[in-house]
Amino acid sequence: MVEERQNITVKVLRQDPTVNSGKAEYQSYSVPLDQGATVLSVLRYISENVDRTLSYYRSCRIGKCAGCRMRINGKTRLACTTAVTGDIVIEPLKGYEVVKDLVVDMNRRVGKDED
Amino acid sequence: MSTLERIADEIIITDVLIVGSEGAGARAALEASKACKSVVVATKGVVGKSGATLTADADIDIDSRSAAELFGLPGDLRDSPEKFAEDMCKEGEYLNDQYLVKIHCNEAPERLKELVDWGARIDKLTHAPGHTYPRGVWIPGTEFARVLTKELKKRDNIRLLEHMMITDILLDDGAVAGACGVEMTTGKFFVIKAKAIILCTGGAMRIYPHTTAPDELTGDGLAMAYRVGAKLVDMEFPMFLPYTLMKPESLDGVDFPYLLSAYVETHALNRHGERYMKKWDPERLEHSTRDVNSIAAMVEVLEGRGSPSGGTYLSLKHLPDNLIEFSADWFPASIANWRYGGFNMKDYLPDLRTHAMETSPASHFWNGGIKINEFCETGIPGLYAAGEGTGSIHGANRVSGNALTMTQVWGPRAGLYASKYIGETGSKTVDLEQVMRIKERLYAPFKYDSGVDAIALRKKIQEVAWTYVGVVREEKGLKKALDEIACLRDQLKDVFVTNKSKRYNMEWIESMQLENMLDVLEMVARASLVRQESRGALYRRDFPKTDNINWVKNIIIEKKNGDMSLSVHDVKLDTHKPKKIVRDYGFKE
Repeated sequence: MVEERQNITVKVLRQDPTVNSGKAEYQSYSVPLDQGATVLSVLRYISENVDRTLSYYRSCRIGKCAGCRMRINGKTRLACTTAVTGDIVIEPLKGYEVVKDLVVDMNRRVGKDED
Repeated sequence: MSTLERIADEIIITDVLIVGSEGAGARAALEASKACKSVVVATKGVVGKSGATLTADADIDIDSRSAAELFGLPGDLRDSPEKFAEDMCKEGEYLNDQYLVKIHCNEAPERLKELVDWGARIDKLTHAPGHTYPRGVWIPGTEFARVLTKELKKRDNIRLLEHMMITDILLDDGAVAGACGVEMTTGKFFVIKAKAIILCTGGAMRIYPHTTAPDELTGDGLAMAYRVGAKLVDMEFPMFLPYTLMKPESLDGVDFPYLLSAYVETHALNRHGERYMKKWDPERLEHSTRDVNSIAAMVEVLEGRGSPSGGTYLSLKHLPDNLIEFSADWFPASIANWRYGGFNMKDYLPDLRTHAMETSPASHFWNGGIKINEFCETGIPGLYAAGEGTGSIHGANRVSGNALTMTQVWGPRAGLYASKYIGETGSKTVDLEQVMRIKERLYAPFKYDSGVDAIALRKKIQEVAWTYVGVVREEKGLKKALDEIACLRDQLKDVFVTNKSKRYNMEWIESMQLENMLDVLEMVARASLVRQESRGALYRRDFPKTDNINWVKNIIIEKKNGDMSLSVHDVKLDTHKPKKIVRDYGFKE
């Protein structure tokens, strides 16, 4: 049985405060969707194989450290335990200063949003 | 502007620098902050959101009697620190430093009490294999992280440097003068002047591709200590945990199946559908010890009877459907309703009524490490170490729950003795030439537009580790590993990064971890080659017996004249002595 490899579109909100006046822009990637994919495994795939400039924070990868908290399709979730089944939009956690792309400084709150 | 100010982007001056902010590092900092004016804690990650401590499920060991007396838990009053020590030496196959073990067992209850006084909540008391009495005080790793982070942040004289990779230790006339580091968020080069350094960087599980540990555990502290001339001991005993997931790939190394096997009868099968554990432990089968389960699985794979992804199968198919369905109702909190660590496992696993999981052993803990004495001293004046990255406490293998105890007992000891040392030592100077060379080396990958791919090299290191220096080792493979390691070392100078940004550059961080991984891998390979027997976490396929006549010895590794030098030393046996026999591996007395 030949399995047809499905590709999904992953849109990531990129930002570097030291570049382009810190303008945030979406970048789209087309990636193969593996069985059991999580947002973290997708980010890992992109950063290792497609775009080495992509930045994100992760540590335990089993839902315990909460370091990979980010917005996935608009909702705040852990990247490591969120399953991916189709196209996704990934943005950094709201309410904190962005260090780069999906990495935020948990010691620096911005705006009046609380999470 | 001094020359150092021209080389370093930032300079920090402190009494003590602690590398690693979690179980051991946090405790070391809290202790040191009592006597020192200034404490700096540097971590590659975020405090309380990094390291292996928070990943523990899990139990922290103290003797059962203390569990009853100090915390009102249903402990057994017949237990004692001495009996706890005896079990540790038995599990460690008598390679432990019995003097350190004594301190470990004596001090554990008080150190745990401090954690509880700070607010850590105890769930229950558990009795794990390897312990004569119930010693596992159940406090989730996340609870450790919560409490310790809270305490760290309360203290004004503790400065936390996050996303800070410490790369090199600086010496002045053989004593600690400071360290170099890279701040990952900005790419800035830091020089931290400190009179004492405490290494709490954990183990090096990440030299293997399959692991339960977080990505950042690449053995940085072990390698840095080695490079400045400290001794390492028992490096041939990285510990593997059986029954971790291989599929889906996104959950590689997740130990859910291992936990599952404690609550329902699981069958470990090779590709022929054979319950291969009967070849190793016909009575207990899958209930055999963790190391035997790991080795048995690996042998199946090596002999061509594994699953498609290079593991074996763990099956529940033999259980009735309604039994499997009912389990969702009564599983304990950690895997209740088939949820584990935030995963709804049913979303990721095949239907276990009809399919088996593909599992593999994974590297889980580091038994050996930097050699320390009772004061956490490494032999290099001003250099201290505590936690998983140190050796001598567990010997060839540790008992369940003792990883956490190690952090809580030895972290404070390192903090205490490092702060005493600081009071007694004069000021030190940092070698500018050395700092310049370090900076050149760290930033070199940016200079090149082609060369050796950092991530490909990391994968190659992990492949060599897994294939030749993993769960099952033997002479031919270990020698091949050493050849490969030499080749890979040659490639280090040509490593380049495609990402030229200095801002949170994950590719660049990988490039800085490569030498550490190679140093550690070489130590494991060399020590494994020297030890011609199997013991604890080391299985030599070509020497499958435990030889208590010839091998109750520690292998010590040290850099001598630029070379990795190994020496073998008799263990100073005290109260606890093994039977002087040669026996089949895996079957303790």
